[in-house]
Amino acid sequence: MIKIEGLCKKYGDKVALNNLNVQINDGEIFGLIGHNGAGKSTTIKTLVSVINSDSGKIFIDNKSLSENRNEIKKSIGYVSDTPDLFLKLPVKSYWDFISKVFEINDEDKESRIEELKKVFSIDEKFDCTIEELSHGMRQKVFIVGALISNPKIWILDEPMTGLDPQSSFNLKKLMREHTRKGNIVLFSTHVLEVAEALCDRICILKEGKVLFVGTLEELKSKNIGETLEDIYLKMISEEGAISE
Amino acid sequence: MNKKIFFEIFKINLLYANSKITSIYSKKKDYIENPKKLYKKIFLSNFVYSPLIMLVFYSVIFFRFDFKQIPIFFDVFYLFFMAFAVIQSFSVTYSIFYASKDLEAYKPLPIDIINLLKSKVLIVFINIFTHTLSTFVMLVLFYFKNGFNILEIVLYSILIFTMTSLFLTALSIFVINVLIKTIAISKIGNSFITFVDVFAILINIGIFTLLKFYDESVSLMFYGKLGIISGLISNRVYIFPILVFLLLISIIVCKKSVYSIGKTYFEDNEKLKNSVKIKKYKKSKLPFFIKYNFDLIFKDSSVISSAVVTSSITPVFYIFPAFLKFNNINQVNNFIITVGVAGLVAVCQYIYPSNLSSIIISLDRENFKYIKSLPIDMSKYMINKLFVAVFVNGIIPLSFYLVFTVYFKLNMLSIICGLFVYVLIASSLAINWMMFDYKNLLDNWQNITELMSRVSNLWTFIIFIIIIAAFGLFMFLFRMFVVIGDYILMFYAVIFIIIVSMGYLRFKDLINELEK
Repeated sequence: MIKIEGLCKKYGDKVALNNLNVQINDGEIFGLIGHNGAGKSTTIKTLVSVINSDSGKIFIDNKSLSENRNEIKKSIGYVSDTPDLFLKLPVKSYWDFISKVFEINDEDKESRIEELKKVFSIDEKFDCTIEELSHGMRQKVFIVGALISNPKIWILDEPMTGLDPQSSFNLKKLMREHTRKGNIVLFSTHVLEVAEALCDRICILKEGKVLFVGTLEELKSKNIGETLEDIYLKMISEEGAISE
Repeated sequence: MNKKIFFEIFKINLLYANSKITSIYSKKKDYIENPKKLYKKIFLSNFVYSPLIMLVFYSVIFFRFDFKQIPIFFDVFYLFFMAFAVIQSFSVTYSIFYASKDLEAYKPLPIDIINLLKSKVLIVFINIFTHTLSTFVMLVLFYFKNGFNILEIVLYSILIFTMTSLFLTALSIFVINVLIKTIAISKIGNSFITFVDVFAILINIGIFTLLKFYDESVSLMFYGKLGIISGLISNRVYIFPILVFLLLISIIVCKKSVYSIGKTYFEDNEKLKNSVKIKKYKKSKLPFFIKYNFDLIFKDSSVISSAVVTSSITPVFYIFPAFLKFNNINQVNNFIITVGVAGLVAVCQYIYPSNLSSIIISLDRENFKYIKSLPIDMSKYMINKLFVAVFVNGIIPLSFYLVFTVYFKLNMLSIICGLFVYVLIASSLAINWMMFDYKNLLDNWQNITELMSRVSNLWTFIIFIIIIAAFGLFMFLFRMFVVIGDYILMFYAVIFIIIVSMGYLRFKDLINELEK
């Protein structure tokens, strides 16, 4: 379980997160939805310790993130929204490095990589550095890297961006399988159809505030006959918030 | 400390500190199939083979210096080499602590920050260590010539060399950290690396100029003069206290700097980004493609150091000093000297492949394909590129040329003719390189070395021989002026016409290729 309590974050004068309170339960695919600058990436980056919040607390499986950081990181597989990391590294070296960080033995690493390469239709031997790959390929490399250790919690920042339809489909399938085992997938997306098809619960953010947290059924029950897109656009243009 | 993780991070930082080798060798079959070989290759190239060559090279260079009779020379060269090493290390320190931007990438991972920072410090230390090997040679020779026994020579040289390297490591990290904290580097970014690279080249030239001018008369001037460093290290009483002092200072400074960097690691990069003021957009007065090409060159420090500074300074460094020993230079026909030197500089600069014109089209990267799809006159586009390449590459050598002509009081008309000859010869030869660049276009290059290594080693060697021959021929003709007089002018005219005609024809070929 992930519990976010009173999370606040400002960049200069800009409020990125404004008293965010969200709980993500085991076995859920949880979607973060919002326009650019809504606070999706800030929330995710705070969860994975890339940035620090100004105030608030985060608990993962009842352990405080600030007090058990490294231990908690071992249970998280994170994919950044910008696959521009470790660019000078050859692909294999990046995967080797991640495997060593997460203490995966060579045998498990090789079998896991092969498995994931099949999922994402990666036939190439990747005889190059990450820098030389296209955006979509880089995204696949980092997704594979994040999932090598089979972490309990997957935190994916706009993971479908740049992926081909087959890989996108396979990733969604993996996400469902992962949560069926009682694990957590938290991801952000701009594509409402993906959120509609995949998420058990969603959180709609606007300017760092929660407009809605709950299941799609709850949201739609208050907006009968409307698609998620219609509801979202209506909510974003309104002042008020509907929350669970 | 988890040794495995420490070692893994060390290997990654080795790649960042040696991005040129990484980008070349990571494409080769051997290294593709076995990435561990890449680390071994980098380590051996940079930290074993190069240092060994340097040890031999500097032993030969410094053996003739009498550090016993003229100990102050030891101080001068020692300081020069230390300055060179620490300035060279700035770009590595900046690259692995800040430019690599990998600190953010490590944050989500269960990695102890101490491991991370220690591995980076080790990279800087090894980098400085290899750059200060010349000082180790100097120390050995200093102690040998001052009559120390073999045990003292080995012990003192190793200890002083190691402690100095430690001290310079701490200094390098401290300076970079201060510059980052003042956001100075964040604002000027890659320009900092450019400045550092250029400054290191200038110091290197300074060292070799000093070496060139060392002769008996110079050594007599400084006979017996003791410097501070040579004074301290030649005194057995002072050596160990100095070493302890260096060690303590290094540890304190390094710890404080690394602690400060560690604090930055836990702070948001966003804070640092937001504190940098966004520049207001100003419309440029220059024509679009001129500004565009200037930006391609001046916003990339590797282009400036490899294709501008190095290619410009090398011919200057060899040509102008060769004339300094001539006392009667302005008695020789002004025109012959002025025009001849200008032409020779252009030939030396543009025959060698490491000039801007050999990469100016590839600098566009994927933009070039897009530009070709636009309704643009490609001949004008290429003329823009030619103008920018020749203009930028001409700044340094022409500045030296003007100083040369003023120093030797050569007449104005000849100087103007000389400049004209330089521009025409440079442009004509540059067009050949632009054609080469176009035919071997690389639009997805990651590192300037990929562009520079498109010419085979064999051709590079042949070109080098041609330059030596051209220089030798010119000096021969100059000395033979008394005998052959104005026939030299006819010779110049023939060479000039051949080069310019070839250039014009190549330009037409290039435009025809583009219009296909």
